[in-house]
Amino acid sequence: MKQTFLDGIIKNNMVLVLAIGLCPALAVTTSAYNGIGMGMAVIFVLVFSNLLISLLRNIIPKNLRIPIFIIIISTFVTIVDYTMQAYVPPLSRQLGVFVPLIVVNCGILGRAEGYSYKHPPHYSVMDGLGIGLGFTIVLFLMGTIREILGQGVWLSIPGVFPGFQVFGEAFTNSSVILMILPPGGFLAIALLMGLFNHIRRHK
Amino acid sequence: MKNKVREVSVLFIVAIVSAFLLSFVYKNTKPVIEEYASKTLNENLLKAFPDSQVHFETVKNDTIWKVYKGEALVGIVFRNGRQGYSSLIRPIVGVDSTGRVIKILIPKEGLAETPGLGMKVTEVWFQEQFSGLALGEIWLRGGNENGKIDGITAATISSRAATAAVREGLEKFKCYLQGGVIEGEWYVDDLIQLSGVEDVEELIEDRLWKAKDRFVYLSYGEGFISQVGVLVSIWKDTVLAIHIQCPEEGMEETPGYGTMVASIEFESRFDNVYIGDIDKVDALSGATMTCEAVKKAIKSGYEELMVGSE
Repeated sequence: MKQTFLDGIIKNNMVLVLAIGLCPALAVTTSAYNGIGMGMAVIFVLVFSNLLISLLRNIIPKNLRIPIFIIIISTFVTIVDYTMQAYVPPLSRQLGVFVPLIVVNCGILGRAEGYSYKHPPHYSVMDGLGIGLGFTIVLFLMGTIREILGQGVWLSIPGVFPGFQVFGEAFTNSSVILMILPPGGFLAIALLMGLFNHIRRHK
Repeated sequence: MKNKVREVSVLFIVAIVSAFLLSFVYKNTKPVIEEYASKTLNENLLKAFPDSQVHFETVKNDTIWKVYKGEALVGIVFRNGRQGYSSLIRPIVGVDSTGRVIKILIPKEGLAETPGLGMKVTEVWFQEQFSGLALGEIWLRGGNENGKIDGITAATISSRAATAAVREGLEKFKCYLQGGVIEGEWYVDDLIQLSGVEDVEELIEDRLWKAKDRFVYLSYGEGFISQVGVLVSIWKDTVLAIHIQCPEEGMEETPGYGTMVASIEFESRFDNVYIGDIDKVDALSGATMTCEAVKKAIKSGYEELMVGSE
């Protein structure tokens, strides 16, 4: 069980190892807070869809498994979407279309097909938690890199908290705008992937 | 065969359960979502027209509001969009009764200009420049000799679009500052045509006019999507002619269906019809609701204006 959880974070890390679910990872990580928000949404969907699919794994017919997976996943995604719109509207606006797009996040369908359809519920939930947390950590780190370099602040929450001032005023006014533009996403992800693989190889 | 039925029923049950679950979530989150939206809207309107004693009356959703202090019209707030560098820039603009801009507000939501460059249109210093300007001054410096707006360095397209959105919106909506006609004055030409003379006497403002040998009244009926305006000329109990607001004049019924009623052919069906026989006029197929709206407008206008005032 514990191993399943840890594997989800490290050995099967969605972004850094499997390199899936990159689209939201690149698009929403302009700030650390956005990264956490997106990660939380994915954890919720992943845990519940894994649980349900695993519980129903003996009933779901093999031929129709993909449409059933999609229905289950999109149900949870829609629940997350509505809930976020209602209770954290600013975050929901920031993440925009990438919340509904979790439906087609291949990471989630991949776990349904590759893991929870073949494993008992408690393992599947652990796998969902692990994979989701691994995804969240990477998004948070990417958001951190991009926000600090691109805006000079860290952990800002729109309308609530202006963020910790990492560098002085002078930096904020002439920050590395590139980092919050799309290329910044690729740079951040490359940096993290390189670092991650380096550490794993020399362990 | 039996196997297939089983497989499909599993899919069916999953879909049904999902639908129930979602309708439950939808029902419970919808009021919260709507409340937030109306709260944000109200906050934005107050930011564009900072006066705690006014109330806003929606003329057109998300586009134009009239601002009243008590009974008096003290200004308008409008929202007008213009394509920026990579998204639509839609400032919310408060205008006082003299036609000068009070304040503008460019919300970040839905805006996807370049961060750090075009996104600077959301900054306070840029938006404050608009305060107090009249129509002719809302240009970038250099774009027009009277221009009073400093553009944003390296974001000319975004600043030009924001400025143009304010200017063009003001030009388009400033007519709402005059008088109480919410619907604008789409019927002016038609009024002359229906009354047969140019100098009509206004008996009730924007509702009832008297010409040489007839009365003309304006009435609205609730159509399929929107209010449908009808201008009716009448003598005693007989409708002489009608004119139905057409899409060019702001009617917003379903294109191709409801809008068909605004044709000369349909309008002529009402020529010389006794007011009690209005319901007998044939409706157009595909536009039943809109035809009903027209008939209702004719009848209610007659009862309210003609019967009441005679």
